[in-house]
Amino acid sequence: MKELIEYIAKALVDNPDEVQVREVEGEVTSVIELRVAKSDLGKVIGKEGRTARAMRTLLTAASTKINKRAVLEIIE
Amino acid sequence: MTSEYKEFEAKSVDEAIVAAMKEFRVPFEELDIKVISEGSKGLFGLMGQKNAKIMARRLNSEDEEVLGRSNQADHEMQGKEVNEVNNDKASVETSNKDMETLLRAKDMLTKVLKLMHIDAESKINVNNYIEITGKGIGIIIGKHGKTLDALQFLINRMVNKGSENSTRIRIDAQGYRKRHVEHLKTIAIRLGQKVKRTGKAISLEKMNPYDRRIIHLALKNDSKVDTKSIGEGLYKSIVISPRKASKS
Repeated sequence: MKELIEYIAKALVDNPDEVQVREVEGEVTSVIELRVAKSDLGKVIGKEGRTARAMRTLLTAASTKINKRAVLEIIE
Repeated sequence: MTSEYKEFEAKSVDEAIVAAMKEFRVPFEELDIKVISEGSKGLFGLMGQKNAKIMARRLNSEDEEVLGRSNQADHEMQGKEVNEVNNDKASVETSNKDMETLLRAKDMLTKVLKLMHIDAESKINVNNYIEITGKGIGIIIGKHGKTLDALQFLINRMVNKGSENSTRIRIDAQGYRKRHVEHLKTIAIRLGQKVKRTGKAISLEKMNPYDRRIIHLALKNDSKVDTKSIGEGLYKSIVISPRKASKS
């Protein structure tokens, strides 16, 4: 799951080197923490949060497949 | 023959659909699905988890034909032509730049699908959209095409990053969109007739701009009804109302 978000985020931002993703794994639910450069924050959130919502939708679909749940947190 | 309805239960609606696809051994578009309960994830995933339940049956091709024929009859009855809303006609020429973007989009999509551990392949269709096929298709489409829309949105963002004039990438999964467009057109025509019959306005559930466009276009040439989008934000609902006689 971590790799998925990392790949998408890096393709979206202007500073891919500053993309950091951390996965905190729980038994059922894992939390994916995404950090990007301050100037790129808008790129991963999007207008009215549309980009972030789309990433969460994909994350949910992917984790459903392996009977898990994952939450995406964008850290400022 | 169309099969009997069978019940499927799983952690999510998507999984239940996948189970149904396996059971009947047919692709998503050949299933008639009714969602009974969407299930709930419970409190913090600990308590009160409820499974999603669906009813599904297999449709056969004959049924679709019957459906299509009756539609045609309806149209003829109204004595009007229904606009061809299907915009899948290939643009005559695709510039090299567009082709290059399309290829990059396909590579990105392939990578994303792989990272999602979904067993599916993507290829560029003759009509310049990317078609996903394979076993994991139910998960890719999602409820009301939600996952497919998210995927298309993200791929567009990713592939057009930093370029001034963006190329729009369309992604479909085993003909889902085409089927969806047909479905919306049928609904539009049917509801248009109901409005004319009853003289009362009907409000549809909230839809995204593309879906709304299909409804508007399907009823555009009908001189007896008006369509209007009501609400704020991306998702609005369409109201179909009888047109006032003075206007026409």
